[in-house]
Amino acid sequence: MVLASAYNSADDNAWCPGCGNFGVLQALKLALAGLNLEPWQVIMVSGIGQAAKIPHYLKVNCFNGLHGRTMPAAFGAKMANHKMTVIAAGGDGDAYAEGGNHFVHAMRRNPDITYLVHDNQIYGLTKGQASPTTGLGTLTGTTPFGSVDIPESPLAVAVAMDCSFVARGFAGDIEHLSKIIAAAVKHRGFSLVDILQPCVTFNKVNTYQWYKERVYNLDEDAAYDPKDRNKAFTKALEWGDRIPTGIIYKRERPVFEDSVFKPADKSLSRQPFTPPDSLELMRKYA
Amino acid sequence: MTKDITVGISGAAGMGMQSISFTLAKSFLRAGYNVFVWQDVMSRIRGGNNTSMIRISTSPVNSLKEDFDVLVALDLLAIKRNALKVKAGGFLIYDGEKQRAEEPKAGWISVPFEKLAAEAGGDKIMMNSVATGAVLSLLGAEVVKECEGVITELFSKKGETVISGNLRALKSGIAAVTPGVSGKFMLAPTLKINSKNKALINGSEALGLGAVSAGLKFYSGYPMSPATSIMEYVAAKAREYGIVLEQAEDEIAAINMAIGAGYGGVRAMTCTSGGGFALMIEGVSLAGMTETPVVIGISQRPGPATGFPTRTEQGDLNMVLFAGHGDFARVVLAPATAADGPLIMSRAFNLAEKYQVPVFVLSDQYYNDSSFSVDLAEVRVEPVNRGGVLAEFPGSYNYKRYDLSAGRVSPRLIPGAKDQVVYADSDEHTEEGHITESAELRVQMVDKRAGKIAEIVPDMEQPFYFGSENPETVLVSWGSSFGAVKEAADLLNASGKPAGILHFTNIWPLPEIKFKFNESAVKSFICAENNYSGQFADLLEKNTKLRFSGRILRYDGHPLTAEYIVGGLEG
Ligand SMILES: Cc1ncc(C[n+]2csc(CCOP(=O)(O)OP(=O)(O)O)c2C)c(N)n1
Ligand code: SF4
Ligand SMILES: [Mg+2]
Repeated sequence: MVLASAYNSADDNAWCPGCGNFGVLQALKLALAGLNLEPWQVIMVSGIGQAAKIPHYLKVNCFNGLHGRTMPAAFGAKMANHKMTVIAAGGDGDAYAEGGNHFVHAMRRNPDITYLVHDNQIYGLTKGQASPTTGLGTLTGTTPFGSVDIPESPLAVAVAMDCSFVARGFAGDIEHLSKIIAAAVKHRGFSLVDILQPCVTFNKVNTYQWYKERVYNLDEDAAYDPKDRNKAFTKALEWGDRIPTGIIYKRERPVFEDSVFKPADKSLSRQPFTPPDSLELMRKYA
Repeated sequence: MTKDITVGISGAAGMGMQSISFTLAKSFLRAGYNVFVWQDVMSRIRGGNNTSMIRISTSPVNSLKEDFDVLVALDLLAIKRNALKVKAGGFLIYDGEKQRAEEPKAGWISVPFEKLAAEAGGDKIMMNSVATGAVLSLLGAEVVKECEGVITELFSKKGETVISGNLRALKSGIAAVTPGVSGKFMLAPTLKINSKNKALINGSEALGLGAVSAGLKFYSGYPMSPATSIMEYVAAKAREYGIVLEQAEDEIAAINMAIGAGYGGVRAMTCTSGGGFALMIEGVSLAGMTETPVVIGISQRPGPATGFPTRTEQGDLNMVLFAGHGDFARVVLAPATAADGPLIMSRAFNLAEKYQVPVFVLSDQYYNDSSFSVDLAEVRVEPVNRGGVLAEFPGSYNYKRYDLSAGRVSPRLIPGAKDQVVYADSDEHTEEGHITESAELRVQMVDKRAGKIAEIVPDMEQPFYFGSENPETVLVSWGSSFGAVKEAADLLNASGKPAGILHFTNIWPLPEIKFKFNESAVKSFICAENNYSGQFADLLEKNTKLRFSGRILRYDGHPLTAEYIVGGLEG
């Protein structure tokens, strides 16, 4: 049995006290331990931002790449090690702005990767500018008169892309979040978990209190069927007085790996290194 | 008898110039000749005017001529654009019944392609075989048997009627050229021995093949001419050799995927052209910072921006040398001929893993799209060196990805090793791979990454030298210009002007250059490059003892030729 503490990292944590990221970190440790995965069996890939520092605060294999480029790097790492668990993480800017194109195409590709997006509706690391999910009218460093761009609904985008697992979590409800993350990791295929993550320093609108007043647990609603895409689309768009958390949409789709690997195949990185002879390949042109 | 002949096949895109040139080239290759084919194409799928240029020679040939001995014009526009490029005494083969607008001139031979095709095979599409036959007739028709074999192979999937129709079309093409003219360019006979040991392969195929045989396991790319054909080669082989290939959403994704796979422990590559590479540049510095091996193929075409998309140039050297913010080590290699492809690729993957750096393989449209005759006995590769990559590591959670005690290149562990984790980080980092704010570590890590260059230098190969021991003129060149520059040096020597060619395929870092000729005889070092400014000459002047008294440069979208270079020396 693996304990959550097995994932503790000695690295110095740079997040602000009270930040929602701590809730995500704890929920992730609980989920991984619950899945009985050893730290060496997991690869985390992240971008740049406050959220993207999370792999350093866990003991896991980590590729902390570029801002916005989490999805492609995670895809490459997964293809080399398809037998390992690959989890990607980053902020809303990382995922939906700089990485927006990659996000869309990752869902088309459908590799067995879980993407945790710490959605604080703000750019934290760069000290408080608008993000793609910042609410209309919000005052930020770059929107001093209020944000005018309509916020993106990442969950609706995901359902539209027929993403194979779409969920929302809340960093203020660690227990539920850890269950969602565990379900996402277990799900075979690309899983998006958009996590409401209060930024106590730069987002004075979407606070713990603001979210607490609105979120409800969809997973407790036995009548809700996450396989119904039309209902899922409606749920994904629900945002206001009530905000659903839990599994919004779920769908079995062939995963990318199945198109290239056979069930018995080892990870490419652990296969014997036996390339073909160049002369043999050249002879075909004689 | 002729020892060296150039044939052009010209027509609108989609008319089959490439299949005629392939059939001719392969036939002459099998008959023991050396052949070289370049595609001069417009950026369109139908219409316009494209020309395949085939050079057939009794001696090795890796370059073109400026003019044609024989031109096959498949439509009127082909005549209008190219008739003046037919040498005096040469021939223009055209369909006098279909292309009537021009007044025929001396040396114009009318061959009714469509009519003969319809008669021979009942399908005017077989006019390609008629045209092939007409060329064979002029060249002595000594290779008819080989040509019949090539046609039979080419149409093997289309069935007996198509094969026999094309063979009849070939014969009627041969017969269509009047006896007085046929054999006008009779090629000198060659020894047919060993013709089985020659391959006709283009640069893209040679690079793709080189990568596959070097153990490539992951390829990501976004289509862009002239690099796409490398990706298509790998795609065709991916299943057979267990390679994951993915068409990325853009070049940014492509390079980040390849780096992710490199971190993951496999040999990974991405290829593009200059414009796509511009998008990849942050990824180059990511590879530098994280010390992740990756091979980046750049197939140059004339820029800036979309540029002259289907033509050739060596104009992206500066970009490749300086791409990426911050200081870190990189390696740049550039193959000279297709025979070089496997060697350059095997070196690229070895150097990338040995030093944990990005390695660039710089080619261009001329290299990628030209078919070279490759003597199989000359194909070499470097033995695999994976730089001691580790699958396991002793102890428990004590591995340090950027261990400084191990020198500039720290042992690289593949993630998934029991009881160990591997942190790679694009931020400045500690030995463990965690983000750091330490100024002291910052200096140590920069010294580690950038200082690798000093360790790579002794691994870089000397330039080749061919020519006179006491050259008055030394032509200096790099990459795909080899064939033209070598031929220019040969021409100079043949005309009593001692010359040599100093040719680089190991571009960066530069080794300390040792001359294999009598330096005191040299009156001038002249660089010859397919770009506007002489980018490589600048690099050499900055970093070596070489100084140039002249630069022969070409940037009209066409490759260098020996004639162009010799003309430049005289002018
Ligand atoms: C190419 C590039 N552009 C811009 C930046 C600067 N930058 C770093 S993090 C960031 C946005 C952070 O916001 P988010 O992704 O939401 O993460 P958070 O800090 O809120 O967790 C930006 C713009 C960068 N590092 N790289
Ligand atoms: S800036 Fe915001 S998101 Fe970043 S650590 Fe502080 S509270 Fe958390
Ligand atoms: Mg954010």
